Amino acid sequence: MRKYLFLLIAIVAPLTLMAQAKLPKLMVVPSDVWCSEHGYVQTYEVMGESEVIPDYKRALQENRDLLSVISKINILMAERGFPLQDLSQTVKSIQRITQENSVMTTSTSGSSLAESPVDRLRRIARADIILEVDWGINENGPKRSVTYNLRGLDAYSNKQVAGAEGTGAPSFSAEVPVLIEEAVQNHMENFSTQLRQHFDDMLTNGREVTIELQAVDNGMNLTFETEYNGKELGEIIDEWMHDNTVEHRYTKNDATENYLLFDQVRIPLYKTNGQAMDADGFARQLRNMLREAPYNITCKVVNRGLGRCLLIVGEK
Amino acid sequence: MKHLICTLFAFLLSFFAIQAKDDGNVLNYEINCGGSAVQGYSLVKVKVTVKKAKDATDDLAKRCAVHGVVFRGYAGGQGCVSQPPLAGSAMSEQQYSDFYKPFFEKGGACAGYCTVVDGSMLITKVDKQYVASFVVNVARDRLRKDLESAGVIRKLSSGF
Repeated sequence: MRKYLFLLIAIVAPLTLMAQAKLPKLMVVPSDVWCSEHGYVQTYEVMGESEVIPDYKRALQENRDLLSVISKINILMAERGFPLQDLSQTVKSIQRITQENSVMTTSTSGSSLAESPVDRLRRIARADIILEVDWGINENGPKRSVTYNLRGLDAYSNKQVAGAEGTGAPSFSAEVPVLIEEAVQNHMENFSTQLRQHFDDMLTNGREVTIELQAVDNGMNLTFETEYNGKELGEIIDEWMHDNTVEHRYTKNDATENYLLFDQVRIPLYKTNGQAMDADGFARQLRNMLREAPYNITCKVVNRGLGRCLLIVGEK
Repeated sequence: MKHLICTLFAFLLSFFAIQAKDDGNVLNYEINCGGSAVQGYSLVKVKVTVKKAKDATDDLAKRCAVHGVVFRGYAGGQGCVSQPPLAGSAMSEQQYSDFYKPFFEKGGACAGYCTVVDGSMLITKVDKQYVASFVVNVARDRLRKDLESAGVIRKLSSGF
């Protein structure tokens, strides 16, 4: 009897562990429009063109309304059992890591850390879902109202998965922070209902990502039309996608002899060992298949964010 | 013959008695936004239809208000933001009838989640019925948390 009991526990325990899924990371950020309107932007020259990006650090240091809006959304989400990542703490942490890395050396040889410009560029605040908040004050004579917009953007698919927007009742007496606070709290129920629906879809149908494959022009004549056992490489990859996506859901958006683009690829939330899966992990599984016989193809996985991955086929 | 009539009469009486009892639990109401409330609360206006004026009680208004917040939600407009039902769909009332039936009964636990705004009751006679309107303040956050704890509505984080 005891033997059976142990056997049962041994079977059930790993299943329980596997069922404990990771909470998606959510973070509130001000919208680009709001940052631009309030002057919290930085301008860079990139290849002759000026690029404007939001300056979250300065916005958080200088704007009290933004702090109270983020704080209010954080409180309301925490009440729903969903604590959010805090933008100000994340920005500070990234800055600290950059500073530490620049002065860090190894004790044996005194070498500094290897860090490419791409590494520095990639060191940005990452969340599974970004809650982009925007608001504006409308004035009509002595009356004031707030137009509020909260969008939930899935960082994997770049799709808007939840949203709440509207203009509150005009008021003669209420102060602007009070109107903003009221807007946040009034729209939260609708927003969280839509977020719940998105999570349900994700738990049932998997995460949505994009996988790109690019052949290398290295004179080896390896393209997606190269044949193995009578099948073109592109076809083999297509079949692998069919077998490894949730409910066989994916779209082959583009296909040439040198380039394949799969989007709306529904990947499982977890690997077979229970580890969380992202686009990078899924692309690595494809790479593992390609480097085995009879293909023996060397591939390089280039991570392009949480939901997009490039597989360079033919060379590292 | 006399026995047969008596049996039939007794059967009909018991049938009407059951009907009357059921009517007491059927909530016939409309729900709308009653204005803006403080954090964690919803201010709703419920219009309850009753046969007798004395039936339009605070308890009935509270039951209707909580039922509306849980299963119907309400539309926005005029400065109000529309609110979805806490339970997601009315189907869950049948799914979890073991919990909801005693919860929404006369004197059930649902009345503990709201208060009727003083002096808000208005009653008018429409045909042979009375329509009473109340403004009720529902503790929405507390209600949601308790229903989540009872397992009849899903948490935002459930499944993870």
